[in-house]
Amino acid sequence: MNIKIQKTPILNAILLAEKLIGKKESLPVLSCILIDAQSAPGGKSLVIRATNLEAGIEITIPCDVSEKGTIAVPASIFSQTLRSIGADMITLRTEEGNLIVESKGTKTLIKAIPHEEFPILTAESKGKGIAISREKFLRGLQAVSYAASTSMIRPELGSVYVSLKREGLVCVATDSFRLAEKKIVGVVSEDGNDILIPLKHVGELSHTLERIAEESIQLGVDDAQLSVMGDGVRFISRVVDANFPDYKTIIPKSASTDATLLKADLAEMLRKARVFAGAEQHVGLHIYPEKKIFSATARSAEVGEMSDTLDAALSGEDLDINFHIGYLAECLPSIPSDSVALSFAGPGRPLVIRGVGDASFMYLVMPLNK
Amino acid sequence: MPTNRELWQNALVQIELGTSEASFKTWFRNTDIISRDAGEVTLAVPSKIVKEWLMEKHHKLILKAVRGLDAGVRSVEYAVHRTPASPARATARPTPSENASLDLQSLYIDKRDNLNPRYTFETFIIGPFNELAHAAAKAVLEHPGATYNPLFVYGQTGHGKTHLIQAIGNQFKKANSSKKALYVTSERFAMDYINSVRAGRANNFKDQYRQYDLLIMDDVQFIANTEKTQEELFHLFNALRDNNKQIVFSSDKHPTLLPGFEERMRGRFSAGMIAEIPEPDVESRVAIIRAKIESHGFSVPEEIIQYLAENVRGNIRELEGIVNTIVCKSQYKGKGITLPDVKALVKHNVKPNKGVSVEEVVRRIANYYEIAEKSIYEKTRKKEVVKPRQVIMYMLREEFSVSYPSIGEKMGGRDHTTVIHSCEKIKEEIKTDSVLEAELEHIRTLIHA
Repeated sequence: MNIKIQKTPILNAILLAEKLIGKKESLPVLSCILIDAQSAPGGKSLVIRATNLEAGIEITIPCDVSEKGTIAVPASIFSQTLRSIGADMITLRTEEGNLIVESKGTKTLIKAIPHEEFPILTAESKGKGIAISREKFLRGLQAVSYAASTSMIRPELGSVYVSLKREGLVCVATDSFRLAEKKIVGVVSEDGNDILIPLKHVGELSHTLERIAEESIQLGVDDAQLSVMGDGVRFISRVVDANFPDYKTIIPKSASTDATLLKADLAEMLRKARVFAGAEQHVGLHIYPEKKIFSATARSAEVGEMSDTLDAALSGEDLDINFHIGYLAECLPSIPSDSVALSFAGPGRPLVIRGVGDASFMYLVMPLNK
Repeated sequence: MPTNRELWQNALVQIELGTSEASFKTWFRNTDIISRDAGEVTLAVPSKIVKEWLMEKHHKLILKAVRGLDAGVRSVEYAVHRTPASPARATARPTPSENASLDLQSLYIDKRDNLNPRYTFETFIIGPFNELAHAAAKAVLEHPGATYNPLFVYGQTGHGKTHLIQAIGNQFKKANSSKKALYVTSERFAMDYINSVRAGRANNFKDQYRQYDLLIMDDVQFIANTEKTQEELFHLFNALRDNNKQIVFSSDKHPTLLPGFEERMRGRFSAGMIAEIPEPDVESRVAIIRAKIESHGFSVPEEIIQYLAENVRGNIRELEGIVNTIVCKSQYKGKGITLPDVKALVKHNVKPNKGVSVEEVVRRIANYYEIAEKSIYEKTRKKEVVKPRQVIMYMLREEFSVSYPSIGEKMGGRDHTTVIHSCEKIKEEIKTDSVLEAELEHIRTLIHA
């Protein structure tokens, strides 16, 4: 193999691919990236591959190929090497099975690992993918992924549910204590299946989407595998084959108490409550519409206690209710509006949080039992 | 023929020899044979990447290993696992256990009345053994609060008490949409009470339970010896009954035999209608097994159903367990199941009727009547000893078919005519004395336990 390539694109590609590689792999080749200047069409590009067996990535970069070839080198060593290079053009070639990286004034030899051991990342899935807006897809995933369960005991809860319909994209995640739903209208080219992407791969996918320049990407699901393509990057991951709970039935139909307040006020109050709530992180909300009072209290034996009153527009019945602070606070960054509307359905029933004037996002959170 | 699991475990040993350790650990982790049908083996793998790799690189090795163990195998296919085993990640944040959870898993159970819609009269199988209880339930539904109030259903675990009383609740709900029903286990009732007392809301608790038109309390035996909870139940009972609200109880014993309950409570339990659900007879078992198998969309030969009905003793829950095993097994194998298969299964699933020594029987029955074991063997004619002694003789004869002379010998050298007399006497008494009959039923479970 002998190729000439610009430094920035290959370094970016390696950094992206490196994210996917597992820390402790029993098979040495799995901590490697594969540099493939063999199969790419036209001899004008090379393909970088990395995988952790559950997810994988393929990045195609234009370059000048004078001799075809394939090699696998440890990802961290290769990325360290590239980072230290100052020059703009570099040459990669193989010599006695090892990789030589040359640029103006530097020469590095990296021990390679037999590339025949490297897993096969399946060729493009059959059929046309679904076209979708990259930025909106990323926004949908980020708006809900924090609500998914971090354990895979129930795979459907440890995943983000994505529904692709012509009328729009819906992303939902829940860990059974709270649920986040983001709807984005009209960004999908055609109806597709519902998919469940494991939380772990949602992180990898989001990271990849952030670094793709193209605005429209292709999405396909085939044989329990999701593939996302765009801008010379192909990301694949395992999807969960399970049924997402029918969450629509648990959304309260009507509210008994409503409160509308500034998001910044609520966020500030929760930040303060965090300090006083101690290890338990409980906050009590006290809403008395008649007396026009919306107050929050938090206390712990070690720190002390706080009681804050917030300006809010209120209606409905009086209510005292307790929440876990984290569960309330985590949804706020996903709400673009300045004001938030809290709809309580009474004691022991879930609270619905939405941005005022924003129908796209909904967050459901259960109160504490006591 | 080895099972799929054994076959694959043995094949893995062969495969391990043919590959490097790292490669074996990476590619063959979390794999298993999911089906084997007409020489075609399907292997479950955790992801598509693994699937491609095994197909491409290890197919020959796998095929050779599997064929070496089962010559009938012609081909190996690969399928991505339905629910792949994923490495458990450390939980980033502790889940506050006191946080109520969204009702995702139990959407099924109605929160307001705790009734599970799965239990209905349509799925309730009626046989000679539960006719009475079923008829009583139907009568209650026709005139709630009037005919039989309370309805008290009792029987051993797994005989369908919960199904019946939940069906009453569901039917009641369907017929009277404006009225309120509540199903509660006695344990839950006790917890509610304790929590309300702790929170200083005991009055709330009273009001909360008094609003129902139908109250169903399951397994009342669990609040035995809880003085205050029983008192609360007593007042609740009176309040509901005075307002002609229907109450349904279930328990594992006849109310008069419930230990740890005050007399006034027992009296109230017995005030309405008491219906027993005894052990199902063979015909009913056949009907139950058939219905369970059909509910799985399955059919098995008549001889198997007959065999199960006759040989699986014990409760309906156990029967259901065996039926599930059979259905699962035959789906797994992908072909019909035969009588020898079932016999093998039943052998595993049913506790053998293990031998109990005469001394053990004597000890258990003496314990039951709370008398000294050795007084049984003595020549005393005290009333409190005579009855247990007669019961022991009766049990030895009826349950273990011990001969009359040898019973007499074991009971401290008594004449066989004494033994015959005792057995006859008990037999006669059962006919008129239902308390004794219930005692014997209880003793029977004790000595077989």
